[in-house]
Amino acid sequence: MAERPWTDEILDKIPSGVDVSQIEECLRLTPTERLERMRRFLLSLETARTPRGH
Amino acid sequence: MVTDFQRLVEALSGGRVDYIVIGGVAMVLHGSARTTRDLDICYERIPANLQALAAALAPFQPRLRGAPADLPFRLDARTLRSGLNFTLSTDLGDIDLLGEVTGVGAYRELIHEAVWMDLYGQRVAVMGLGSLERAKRGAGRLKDLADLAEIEEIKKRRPS
Repeated sequence: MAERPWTDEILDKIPSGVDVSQIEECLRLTPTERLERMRRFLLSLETARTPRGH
Repeated sequence: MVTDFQRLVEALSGGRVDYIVIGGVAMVLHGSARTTRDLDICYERIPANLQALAAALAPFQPRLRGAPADLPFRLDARTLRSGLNFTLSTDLGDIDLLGEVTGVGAYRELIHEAVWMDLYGQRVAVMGLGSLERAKRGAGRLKDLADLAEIEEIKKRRPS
């Protein structure tokens, strides 16, 4: 039997912390929609970080 | 700056470049909820493709990311042939060009497991989940472990 990768031992010990509802929401979208959703999120972050008046 | 993925994909595909979308954007295209600011691609290293890649990016002023502005750099087929991996900034945002992906291999290894997706109206090769998994295991950074957990959840939920 093949030896398990060392990373699996770490993964087994910690909760995944994965928000599966977000994944399920993404899987309902087309690939283009998934990428645009992420891009819109990054753009909103950038807007929020820009000081007013700039 | 948030990368203009659409224009980059249109430039690469319109320029008939042989490439595979890898890294964070590949994760997102498969259904991951993570974010990434740059486009990573693995490119075929045959002379005609190096020429096509350099020509596709030329209109967007590709430059070495983080290098001094006065450092002379010209992205052409010769430069691509002399190197392997390039981290670039362009007028459309950041793009990483990888000749080889650690733990997985070069374009010819990746293309067999790639998934073809419709992206902005272009038919684009995207690194397969199995290859992504091997690459993440190969890299072994903390964020790669988080990605591995997400890949597991995507595999459980994607339509077979």
